[in-house]
Order: sequence, then C-alpha cells, then structure tokens
Amino acid sequence: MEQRPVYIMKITALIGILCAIAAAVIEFYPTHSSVQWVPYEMAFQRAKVEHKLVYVDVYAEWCAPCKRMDRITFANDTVIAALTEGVIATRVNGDDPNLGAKMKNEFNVTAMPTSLLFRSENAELKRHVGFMDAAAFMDWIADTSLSEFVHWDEFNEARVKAQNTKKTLIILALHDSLKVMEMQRAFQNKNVKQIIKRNFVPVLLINTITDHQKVIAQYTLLPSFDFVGYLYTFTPSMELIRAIPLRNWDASRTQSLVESLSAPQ
Amino acid sequence: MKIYSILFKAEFKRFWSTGMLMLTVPLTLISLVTLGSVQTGNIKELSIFIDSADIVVIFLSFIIFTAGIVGADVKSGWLRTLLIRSVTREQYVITKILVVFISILIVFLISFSVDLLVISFNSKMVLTYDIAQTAVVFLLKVMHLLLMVIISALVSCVIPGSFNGYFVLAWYSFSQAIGFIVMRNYWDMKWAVVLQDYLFPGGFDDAKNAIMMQQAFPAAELLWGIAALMISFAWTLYSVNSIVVDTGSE
Repeated sequence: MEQRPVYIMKITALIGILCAIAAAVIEFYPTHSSVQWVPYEMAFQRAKVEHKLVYVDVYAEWCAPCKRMDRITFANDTVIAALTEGVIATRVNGDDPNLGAKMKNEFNVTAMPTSLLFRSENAELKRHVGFMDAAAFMDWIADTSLSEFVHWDEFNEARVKAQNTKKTLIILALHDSLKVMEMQRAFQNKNVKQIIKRNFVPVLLINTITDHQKVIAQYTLLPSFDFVGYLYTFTPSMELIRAIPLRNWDASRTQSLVESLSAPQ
Repeated sequence: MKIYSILFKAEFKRFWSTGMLMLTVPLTLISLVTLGSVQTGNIKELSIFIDSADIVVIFLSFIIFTAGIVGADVKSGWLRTLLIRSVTREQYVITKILVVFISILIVFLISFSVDLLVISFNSKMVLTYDIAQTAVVFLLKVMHLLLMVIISALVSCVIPGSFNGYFVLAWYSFSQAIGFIVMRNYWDMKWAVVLQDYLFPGGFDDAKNAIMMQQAFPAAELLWGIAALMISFAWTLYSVNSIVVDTGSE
C-alpha cells in the first residue's frame, strides 16, 4: 500500500495561513501617527502668522506605503519634532471629495503617499512621491539649502522692498519645480548669499505655480523651453537689466555670475 | 534522507538529458546576450544588475525547465514507476521541485558569472558592490523563483502537457500589466489598487523592490511571500496526492 503522509502538507499549510494572517494584520491594522496634524484650512492661516512652511501629506486609508509611513516615519521622535516645531503639518485624505479632489486637480497629485511642502497656499516648494523612512524624510524636509528660497520674497512683496531699498530685483524663473533642488545648491554658497543679500531683492518664480504664472506671463519671462529657466535682473520699476538663460547649471559658476550681475551696467 | 539523495540523482540525470543540454546551450548564450545588452545600460549597482536578470530567469529558463514538471511524469509513467518502488508522492514532488529549481539557478549563475567577468574586464563599466543589499536581493529573487516553480508544479498537476509554464507566465504577465494600468490610471481607486496587489503572489518580489528602493524593512511583504510559498507547496502536495495513478497495489 502506497504511503500518503499528510503531516508535511498540514504543517506547511498551517505555517502559510499563520503568515498570511500576520501579514494581513500588519498591512490592514488601523495605524495612527503621533504627529499633531492641523486641519488643512487652518494650516495656511497659522503658517502665515508663524512664518512657517506647510507640510501636506496626501494619503489614503487603503494605501500600504501610507500606512507604513504612519507606522515608521510619523512615529519617529525626530520626525514628530520637525513636524511639530519646524513646519505646520497637515494631511489630506486622497478619498476626500473636496480636499482630495483639490489635491488631484490643482496640485496634480498622481499617487499616494505624496509629501508636499508649501511656502504659502498655491506656492509649492517641493514634493516627494512615495514612501520615505524617517532618515529620508528628515533629509527631505530639513534640507538646509531649502532655507535659501524660503527666505526669498514673493514677487509683490519683493517689488515693494526693492522700491524702498532701491535695490535691484533678481528673479530666478524656472519652468517647473524639478530643478529647484539643483538651483538651491547653486544659491546656498555663503559668498553667493552675501552678494545677493547686499545687492539684490531675490524672487523665485516657478511656472507650474498659478500665482507665479501670472507674473511670468505679465513680464514675458521664460521665452524659450530650450533652457531650464532664466535669471533676470530688473530695476525696482520693472525695467529689464539683464536676462541670462540657464542650462546644465554649474553651481560653481553662480558666484561669478551674481558678481557680474551686481556690477554697475 | 537516503531515498531523497538517490531520487535527486535519478531525477537530475533524467532532467539533464541530451535534449535538455542542447536546449540549455543556446539558452545560456541568449541569457549572456540579454544580460550583456542589459549591462550596456546605465546599471551601476550589482543588485540592480541581478534584478535585471529577471528577463533571463523568468522568460527563458522558466518555460523550458518547468514544462510538464509533474504532468509529463504522469503521462510517461515515471510517477507510476516511482510509486511502485516505494517512493512516496511527497518525496517525488519535493525532489522534482528541487531539481528544476537548482537547474534554473545553475543556468542563471553561469550566465550571470560569465557576464560579470566580462564587465570586470571592461574598463568602461564600473559596478559598485553593496554586498549586503546584493545578497538580500539575490536571496529574495531566488525565493520568488522557488515560488514560481512550486506554482508551476501545482498547475502541472491540473493542466496536462507542457502548458503549465505558459499558464504561469501568462498569469504573471497579466498581473503585471493590470498592476501597471491600475497604478498609472486608477491609482486613486481603492479596490483597484488593493486587488491588483493580490493578482499574483508577489510578496518576495515586493519585498525585493522595497529593499532596492531603500524603504523600511518589508515585514508584511515577506510574510505574504512566505505564506504564498507555504500554501502553494501544501496545495501542490495535496494535488499530487490526488493524481490517480494505477500502481497495481493501491
């Protein structure tokens, strides 16, 4: 009689079922982060008063990487501190018919989780799509070079400041936000910062941001797509002094460039 | 264990017939060319290089080596012969899976090693070696391959002839295509996203991707992978036990 032992079959099936249950528990168990999320509408008001950036986490209850971020990233003490003290943190459920739709339609959010950093409403600074662990998240949010552009003025404020101080406006205009990080590296040099602070009122304009688009269209900036962007200098009354197209930007050239721009024409 | 050793040798000898060897030589050459063409791309990290070898392992070795993995033995009477000689069905199927799995691994390792040697002598190509990541990626890839072989054996118990390999491959490709479409066009549809995750047991593959993207430890993905491996193995044992073979003594 042929033997048909079934114990291996039963044991492996049991191990398999137990593993599946454990995996399902990890994946579907409701998570909660320890971050104190501020309601979306309130976040931008608070950010204006407190002069802080707004961090927006676009997530969904059914999104596995979002849950992993809750479990790992937003449970990390350093991340919690950064999101509590450094920025105003808010989150938007992608399934929300109002805010979720707003994120998709106005901010072109095409996947979850998406992390967005705003200077003010409609003024997106940068974004990251996908999971980030605590270290990657801290690198992303605490990027020191980011402070360069954070402290640059919005266009209207910059114009007023330039008129009052009789300084030249220096406008960095980019087609999209993809090159922002590269440009930040170019402008974080200590000497470059000093030259800009001494001689210019700096402005960053990104053509994918609604408010910026109007300014770019009004002054016919970014005439060609052949370049990543342009660096302009304007008088306080908005008369063009110089326009420099930017392509394959070499950060080491920034200092000589801003020096030349600051020299009397 | 002795019976496993004898059975393994016998199965290995049967598997590596002259015909299979003749098929494997061009297969290895194709693998070499494929890997060679992959390495001309912008691959700088060894683990990514191993990962790109999917094309070779899955699309070429898999179809040839797993074709009729159980079904052919039932048809040819080999299973009957073994059962008459007091070999249990479990011993048969475990050995069979191991032989096919090791054979695919051998072809992959030969192609991979030769190609790596070519790269090392090519002064223009520099691969960086993150040993830990490479080892983990390789291990997860091997586990995924083992899972595929077990699933193919399971399908072979049900589908006659050599179509099991094609079936698994079509199933895998279908799930990949659906996954791509969902993530591209329906990424915000809850059920589409959740369901596409379970179209094919890809726990080890997902865990490998998470590690390659430097994400956190993929515990859930690994557990799904182990669960799929164990359940499909148990199911394969059940299916092999259910095959009706006239051994004369049953």
